[in-house]
Amino acid sequence: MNQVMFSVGEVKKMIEEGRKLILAGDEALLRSLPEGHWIGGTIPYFMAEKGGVLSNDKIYVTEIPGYIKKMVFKTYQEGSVSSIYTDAPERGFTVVIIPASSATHLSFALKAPTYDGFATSPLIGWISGVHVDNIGKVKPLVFFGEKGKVMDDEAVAIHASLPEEKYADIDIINIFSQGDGDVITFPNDGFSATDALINGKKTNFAEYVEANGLDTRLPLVADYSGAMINISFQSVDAAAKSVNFYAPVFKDVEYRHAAPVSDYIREFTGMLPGAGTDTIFFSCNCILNYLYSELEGKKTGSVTGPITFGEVAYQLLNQTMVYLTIGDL
Amino acid sequence: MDIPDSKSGVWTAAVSKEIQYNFEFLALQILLSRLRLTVKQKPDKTTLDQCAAELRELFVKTIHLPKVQKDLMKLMQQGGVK
Repeated sequence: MNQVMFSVGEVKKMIEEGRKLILAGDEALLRSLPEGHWIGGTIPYFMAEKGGVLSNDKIYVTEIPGYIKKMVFKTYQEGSVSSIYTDAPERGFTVVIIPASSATHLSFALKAPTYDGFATSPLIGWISGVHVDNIGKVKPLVFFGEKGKVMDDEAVAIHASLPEEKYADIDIINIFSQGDGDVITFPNDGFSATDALINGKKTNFAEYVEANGLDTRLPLVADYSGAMINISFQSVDAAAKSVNFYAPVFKDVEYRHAAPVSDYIREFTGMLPGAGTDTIFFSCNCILNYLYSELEGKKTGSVTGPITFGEVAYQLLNQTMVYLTIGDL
Repeated sequence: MDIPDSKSGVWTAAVSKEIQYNFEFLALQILLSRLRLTVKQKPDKTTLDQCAAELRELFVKTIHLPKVQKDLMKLMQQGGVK
């Protein structure tokens, strides 16, 4: 298996050699790197060569392949991220990193499906984060290595053009599926909900979660024409009678609470692409999968990547592994 | 592989009916669900035509992908176009 975790010294050398990199790591490590052709985001959790790991002294490195001749680095703010699809190359892909809880994150999460050109080019990426003990104390960051910029409220992206004979494709591995319980819809888009329609009947959603003993480690799942799309629970506020989510629920989309999963690793490895994982260029997996399924020290096949506070596969996803493959036509 | 023109009924059928295609291309799965929801929320002809055009545009832009070629076959077969 290829090495993916490197020391600061090794990454500095790669940058000085002019290599083009996507990095994930601890804030102090990323701050110590020189300017160069790289973007990065903060996170101390990884699926590494030997399995899930918490590391404050190694950086996860994804190198842009040498056959990619044209790349555009770009930053996006809350007001400009809507152009991310129209900025994408005609043949290629885009990797984006967005700091968690930033205005850009919230805007992308809510509005990406309304952007011009939505889903017409491969957009993959992740939401940067922090050690779970530092949530609310330390800001997640993204880094724009070409300009030496460190940002807590802007996204950074690489738009990469592929040669004619290659193509990029995005897919997901989601071990969750809809359970056979109630159909849940919401009257509004949003990261929190007070009311929901349970099988069409208006109900306070916090009370519903409590009364039905829903395991909030399991997400709500919507069936998007066969693709299972999760919404993860963040908290249930009994006093405010509201429920908060890590990604927005959308008005009129039909959700069901996920069916239980007994063994994440077994389910996950059973869903790995039949063609193998050699063509995976980039992947990432969710912090909730890492925590709830206790992935530290466990291997998810040969798939590696940063552990994230949200995954991007065209739009924001939760509790899902996303990956981008580059194939030959 | 020829993509049905914008006047073909396959596009409006796809966004307005609950036809199960078993598509494999993730972007198509997500976009189709979004478009069906939009049509359901605002079922007028203008919205239907816009959503049908948006779906076709995805195929135009991604038809070089092997998965999309397979999905186009499914769309045409289920939509009555051989």
